[in-house]
Parts: sequence; C-alpha cells; structure tokens
Amino acid sequence: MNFGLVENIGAKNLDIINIDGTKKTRAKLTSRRIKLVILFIILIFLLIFSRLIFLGMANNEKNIMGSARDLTTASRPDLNDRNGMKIALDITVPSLYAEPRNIINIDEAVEKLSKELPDIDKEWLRNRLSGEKAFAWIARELTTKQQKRIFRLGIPGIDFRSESKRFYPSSVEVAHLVGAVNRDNQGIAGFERFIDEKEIAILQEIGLARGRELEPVNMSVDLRVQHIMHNELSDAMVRYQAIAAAGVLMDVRSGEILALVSLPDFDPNKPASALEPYNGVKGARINRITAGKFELGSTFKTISFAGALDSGAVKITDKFDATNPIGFGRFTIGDYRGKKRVLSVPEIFKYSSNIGTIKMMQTMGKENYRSFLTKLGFDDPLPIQLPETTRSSIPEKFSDVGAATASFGHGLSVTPMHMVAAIGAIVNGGYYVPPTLYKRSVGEAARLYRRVISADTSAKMRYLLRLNALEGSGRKANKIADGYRFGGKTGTAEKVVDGRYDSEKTFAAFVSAFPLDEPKYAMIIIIDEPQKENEMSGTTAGWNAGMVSGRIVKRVAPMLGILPSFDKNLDSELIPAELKEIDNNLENI
Amino acid sequence: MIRWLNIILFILAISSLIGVYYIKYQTIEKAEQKIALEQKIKEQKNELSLLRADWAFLNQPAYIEPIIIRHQEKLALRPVEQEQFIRFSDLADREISEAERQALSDLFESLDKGVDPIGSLIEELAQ
Repeated sequence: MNFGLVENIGAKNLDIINIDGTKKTRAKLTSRRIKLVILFIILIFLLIFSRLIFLGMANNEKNIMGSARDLTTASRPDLNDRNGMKIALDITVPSLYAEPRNIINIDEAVEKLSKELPDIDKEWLRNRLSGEKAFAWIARELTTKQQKRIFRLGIPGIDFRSESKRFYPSSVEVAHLVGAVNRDNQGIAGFERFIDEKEIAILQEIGLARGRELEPVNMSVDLRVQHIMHNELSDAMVRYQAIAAAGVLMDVRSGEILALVSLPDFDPNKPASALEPYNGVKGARINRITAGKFELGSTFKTISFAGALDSGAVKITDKFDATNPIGFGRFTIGDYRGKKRVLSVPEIFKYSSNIGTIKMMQTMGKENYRSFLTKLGFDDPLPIQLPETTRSSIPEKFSDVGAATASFGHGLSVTPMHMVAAIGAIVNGGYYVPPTLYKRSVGEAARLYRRVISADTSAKMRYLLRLNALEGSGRKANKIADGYRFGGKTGTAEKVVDGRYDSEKTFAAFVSAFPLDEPKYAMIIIIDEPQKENEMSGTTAGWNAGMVSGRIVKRVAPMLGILPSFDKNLDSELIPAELKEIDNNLENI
Repeated sequence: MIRWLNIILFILAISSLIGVYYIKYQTIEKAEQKIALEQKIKEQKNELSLLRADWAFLNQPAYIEPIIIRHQEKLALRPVEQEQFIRFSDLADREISEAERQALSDLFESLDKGVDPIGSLIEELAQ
C-alpha cells in the first residue's frame, strides 16, 4: 500500500497548487483514519502489555483456590541448653472442632467419634454437637494418627485446626528456669516471660512471629547438670524430710548458670500446677534462688573474711582471741562448740568462730564492711534473666550489734543468687561477673568484669575454702567429692518463728567452689528445715547441704571435664606464702 | 494476498485461544498441586515437630536414668568412681613380649616388601 507516496505527492502539490480531485481527497482522508485506528490499537496493546508486565512482576502470594490457612498461634523460639539439647520447643498439634449447625446426623457423628476418642463422654459430645452454634472445640491436642483416622470417618461439619503448643521435655526439672506459657503461647513466668518482654513481644506485635520459625535461644544451662542437681535435691528432700531445697551452680569465669533448681517445683507443661499448695502450704513453689531471701548463716563468713583480708586491716597470719563471748549491751554472742582460745585467721574460718569473725570485721570497720557488701553486688537488683526476683534486705547502716551479727550471716537476708555471684567473684581471682542464663563465652564475660577484691585475697580465700573442706565443716562433703579439689563453707541458721530464733527449725546452706586449684564453678545449696538422716547424724549444714553438694560435685565434675587428682601438691600449693613462711620458721626453731 | 493474511491471522487467533485455555487449566492444576504440597509440607512439619519433641524427651537424662537403674544389676553397671578417671599420658605402656615384638617386626618387613598378610586374609574371607 502506497499511502505515503500518494500523500507525498499530495503535499508537494499542496504547496504548489491545489487541484486534487474528490476521489483523491477521500483517499487521503481514509488513509488518515486508518493511521488513527492503528495508533489506537497500538496504544491499547501497549496498555495490555504493560499490565501484563505489571502482573508478572507482582508477587502474588494468594493462591488461586483460596484455601483457608490455619490460624497458627504465635510461635516461640526453641530453647536450647548449652550443648544444643532442647529445653523447650513448639509442637504443632491438630485440635478437633465442630460446626454443629453443619452436622447432618448427630447420632452417627457421636457414634463414630466416640469410637476414635473413647475418653470422651458420649452425652457431653452429643450436647456439644447439637444446636445451631458455628463453632465448638471437641478435643484439643490430638496426635496426627488420630487426626488421620477421624478424617477418614468423613463426618461433615467437623474439622481440624493446627495449634502450636509449648513442650518441655524435661518437665519438672527445668520448672523454675523456664517458667511457663499460657494457652496463647505467651510467657507468664520464668525465662519464657523474660524473653517475651525483651524480644518476642516486639516481633509478635509487628506480626513477624506468627507461623514463622524463630532462631533458637541458647541458654547457659547444661541439662545433664540440671538433672543431677534436681535428682540430688529431690533425694535430699526425702532423706532429710526438708520442706524445701534449692541450689544453683555457676561458671565463675563466664557467669553462666549451669543449673538452677528450687524444690518444691511444678510442671511447666501444666502451668496451673505452679499454684498448687505443697503439703498444705500455699505459694511454696516459688523460685527460692532468685525470689527467696534467707539468712545464710555462717556461709556469709566467707564474705566477711574476703572483706577483712582485702581491706588490708587483717592479715592471714593474724590471731584473734576467741576465749570469751562478746557482749553488746544485753546481747552476748558466743561460738557454737567454741575452742575458747586464741585462734589464727584460718582457724577462725575452719572452726566457724563467730567471736573471731566479729573481731575481724571490727578490725576492718563496720562502715567498710557495709560498703564491701555493696561492692559485691548485694544491694543491686539481680542481673538475671528471670522476672521472679527479689532484692536482698540488708540494713542501710549497721549498728554495732547489727554489724556483728551480719558478719556471721544473721540479721540480713540475701538471695542465694546474690550469694553465688559473690562467691564466684571471691574465688575467680576477684572479678564480679553478673550471672546470666544466656550462653556466653569467657571473652564476652570478661568485658563485664568488675574487680571487687585483689587476686591475692582471692587466692587466700580459695585456700580457706579448701582448708575448711579438708579439716573443717566441709569434711563430709569433701570425702564424697574427693579428687575434685572441692571446698566450701557451711552455714546453719536458726529460723525465726514468731519473732524468735527457734533452735528446732534450722536452715542449712553450703557455698562451695571447685576445682580450687583452677576455680571454674561456684555452687550454693540450701535446705530448709532439714531433719537428722539417722540417729548417728546431725542437723548442721555439713550433714545435709554439705553432703548434697559433695554428691552433686562427684557426679557433675566429670561431665564438666574436670579430671580428678589426688596430688597432695595441689592442696599445698594453695597455702599462702605468708603461712608457709611461718611453718618454715617453726621448723627452723 | 490479504486473504492469505486473514487466514493466517485467523488460524493464529484460534490457536492462541486454545493455548490460553490450555495454560489456564494447567495453572489451575498446578495451583491445586501446590496447595496439596503445601498441605503435605505442613503435615510433615507438624509430624516433625512431634518427632523432635519425642527425640528431645527420649534423650532426657531424666528419661534415661531410670532405664539404667532398671538394668543396673543385669548389666553390672556402677557409677564411675574418681579413681577410674585417668589421662592417656598417665597410662603405662603395655609390656610387649619378645614373640609379639618379633611378629610385629615381621609384619612391617613384609609390608615393606609389598606383601600384605592381613589384607590377603581379608580378601580370602571375602571370597
């Protein structure tokens, strides 16, 4: 078709002279119209193409069939222990529901369903299925096998919905660590609640955590150690007929909590069990390690000794007269099975002399002693990832008698967690490291180190703790945990009943650390109202809390890679140089 | 010429129509398959979550310990005592008798010569 040519000629002619015939004019008009139509069609096609490209680019996630997606409840991250074992994980379980108004034959449905679900009461099921309701749960948390079988029954008007459920494989053993979650998978206690408040809540709010896999959280806990501590403490509850027992084990270099047990406990798989009374006592299932505070008795002497030695006012070679009880107005403070003579500093520790400890504290000065407690973190809120915490209660200012009783752990209550963190600082070379439930390397922890006592004082404290295990109240514990260079201090406190100390009801505690030649772990075990195991045994802490500690160390140390050693040199190397000199001088004389 | 063009265009139109329908139904089929697969993935994920839970439960020290206690007598199991831990380096070398030493050096000699007595033994067994 040669419109172009015709037009060209036309245009040229137009310039010169306009003498086109009617036929020619019409042809020109037609050609213009055709062009217009072509342009129009091209535009339409361009539009269609651009729309096609647009559709192709758009990432359309809705599927064509429009199938109903399951309403998944908020998912939570797995909790792993330090070795990757699961402490908590989500399981997706089908739950059966009915749409009663869509059920045609109720009798048939009830008959068929009760065959698959024999636990369900037929009458209840019939009531549930009848009526004009749109929705009714029938059975929650079924197995996938049950789901398949029920599906094959082909009953109209019943269907399944997947629900995410939190599962704790170790159940009671990790109770106070993890806490619990509610039906909606929100943390209501323990570490679960902590991570909700810290992290997941934000994710869930912006809708990211739904039906989506979250990175697992690595906890510091070692499930094996946790099991052993739980096992031994449960044993202690029976053995000593105690009303409560608790313990915590911390890595003194990284601050990681390897095990935390508080009995009586509950099953985190059944959160309601946390509120059940224990032996008729309500609220007994609290976390005693962080939410309980106690007079830890003579174990607190460890703190007093560290303070006195670190202040420089008391030397390890000093001697104090512990012959006579000390009087404060109408109070007199004496020793339990006192030696009634002049005692050296190691002897005061070994014999747990109240008189000696008071004198050491007085040499240091009560103000200095009070500020030392602050330095060791006793006044701070617990830096642990659990919502159930309490603050220690220590008088802001000590009176003379208050300071005296405080030096041997009376008249002030601290949480066991505060105590274990302080013991960690005392044995690890003098650095306070905040305890944590997150897995943490020593390098990361080192950035948080805060020096509280000198390395030299720390070394002396390790010697004293070991000495007490070899010759003092930790003997029974050390016998069990022989070879692991274990040391500790006992504490037996009389409980306050109606405003008075009751000698029948005691509270036993044992703080310890091992291996003392290269300190790695610190532990505290408390036993509330222990009884004699048998006629031959006593009720003081060495008999119960101490022996429990020994049994735990014996089982746990090999797992933690500590090789037993019976090398006597390891113990003698702990002896401070000053004391060795005295020995040498004595020999020379 | 125009007539041929029209015929070609007509045929093209018809075939593209068929093509479009074909693609449309294929898409629906694929979508169905996708949903079926998604359903299967979801089911298997659910099952997997249960299996993982089972695995975690069965590996619990609290689950294993009672089993050990139950079979303690039969298997003569006892907790390891401190004295039973030792470093490899602390172990004394086992004493080797003269006969054993001779046998060993014979073995190395024959290996040097390219004869592998143990290998040939295994080969014999395999046959």
